[in-house]
Amino acid sequence: MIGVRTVQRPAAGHAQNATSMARPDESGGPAARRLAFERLTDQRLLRAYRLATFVLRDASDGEDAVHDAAVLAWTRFDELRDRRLFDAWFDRIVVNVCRQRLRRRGVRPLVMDVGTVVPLADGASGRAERDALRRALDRLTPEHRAVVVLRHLEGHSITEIAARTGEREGTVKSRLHYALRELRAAYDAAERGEEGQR
Amino acid sequence: MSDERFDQDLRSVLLEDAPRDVPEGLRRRVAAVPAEHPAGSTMAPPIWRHPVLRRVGTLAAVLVVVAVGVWRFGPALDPGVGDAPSPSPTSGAGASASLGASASLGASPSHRASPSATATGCMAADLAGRILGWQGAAGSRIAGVEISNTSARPCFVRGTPGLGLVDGGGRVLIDSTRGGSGGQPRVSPSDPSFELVPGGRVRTEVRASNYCGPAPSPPIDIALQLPSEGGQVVAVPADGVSSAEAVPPCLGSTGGQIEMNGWRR
Repeated sequence: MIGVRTVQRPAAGHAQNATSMARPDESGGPAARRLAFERLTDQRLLRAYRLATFVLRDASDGEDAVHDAAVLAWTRFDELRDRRLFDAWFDRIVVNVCRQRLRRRGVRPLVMDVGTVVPLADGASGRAERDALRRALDRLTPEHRAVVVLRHLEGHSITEIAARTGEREGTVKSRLHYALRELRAAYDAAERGEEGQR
Repeated sequence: MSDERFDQDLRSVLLEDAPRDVPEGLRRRVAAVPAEHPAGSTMAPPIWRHPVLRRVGTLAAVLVVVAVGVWRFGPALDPGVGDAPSPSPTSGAGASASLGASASLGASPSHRASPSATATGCMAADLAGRILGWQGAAGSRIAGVEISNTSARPCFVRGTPGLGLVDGGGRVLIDSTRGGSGGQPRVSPSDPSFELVPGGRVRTEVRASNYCGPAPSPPIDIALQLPSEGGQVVAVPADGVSSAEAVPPCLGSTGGQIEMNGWRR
């Protein structure tokens, strides 16, 4: 039988675009290489963390994914011939690491299987619609969430998203279309006060 | 409804939910990467940088690993072994370790991963638990739960603990161990072992449903009764995590249920 607790309760900026900093043929010895890597990752860290957190829907998991991506990027840094492309290259590693982590979970996360969500209490005007958007984002697959974040939060073009996800542009367009259709349906239903019946 | 307003609301939701800062811990971990990890491509002999030769090399390495695996473990080798955390090079020696007094770790060939020879089963005193967040769904509530090794020695977790939803007054709202044998702490032969170095952690999701008792007092914790008399770890809400959505609604008199996914990194 589960007993009563016996443990103590614990006491209760956007990064700049790396392309503006890196030179195309930046090279040098190990120290210069390390400096270039640290500078590029530092500039990219917040965006990578946001992307991983949105895809995985778990801040802690997002941290681990970005760390793993940084390890991979460092061990393959010499394969990146043009460091102006670091942003897209690093994002792609982050996306791939997130995919691996999702696969490694072995089972679909429970949050993907919950079906109809409980409507939150209505608040100020527009609150219900935004809450509906949040829940609809949760229901999207990680791949669909990734394209929504890259497009509507980071402002990337279809071509840029394709480069970051390793997908064809047509696939990106299709995913974006489907994701926005789902989000819009949830948003419109919330506006009509119908979400509980969805 | 205008497209413009939808676009604005979508962007504002994304901005509101996006992390505003990089956690200091992550910044430190990433900054330490160059010092802690060899730069792979600079260490490799130049011939292996040729793409074709690199592919051939990779294929050969895979074949060698598969051949060794078949020879070492026989056909029962589970392809998921790559997912098992921290497989130790001394896995053969670790097969004789035990979780505790009553459950053998399993020296069978189908065992997916063995802890290092020095690791033993984690006891409750070695661990701390956190609830990372709650999500509300129709009829149930789902918590992200993490346990970490706070001791100075490596240990491993394996199997499924008994689970309890506990309120701020220490009252057990839902108890898996009262629902028959399925909710008892248990270790199955196919359960992977997760070795936790000091500071290491594993996570899972816990789903609770159908609570019909009196109103509980927050905060809501999750108690995990470790298999093999490992003791009880109580996962408490992490900083900033509210228990407002932690108690599942009453669905009828069939009794409450609480269950979890398998452990993962």
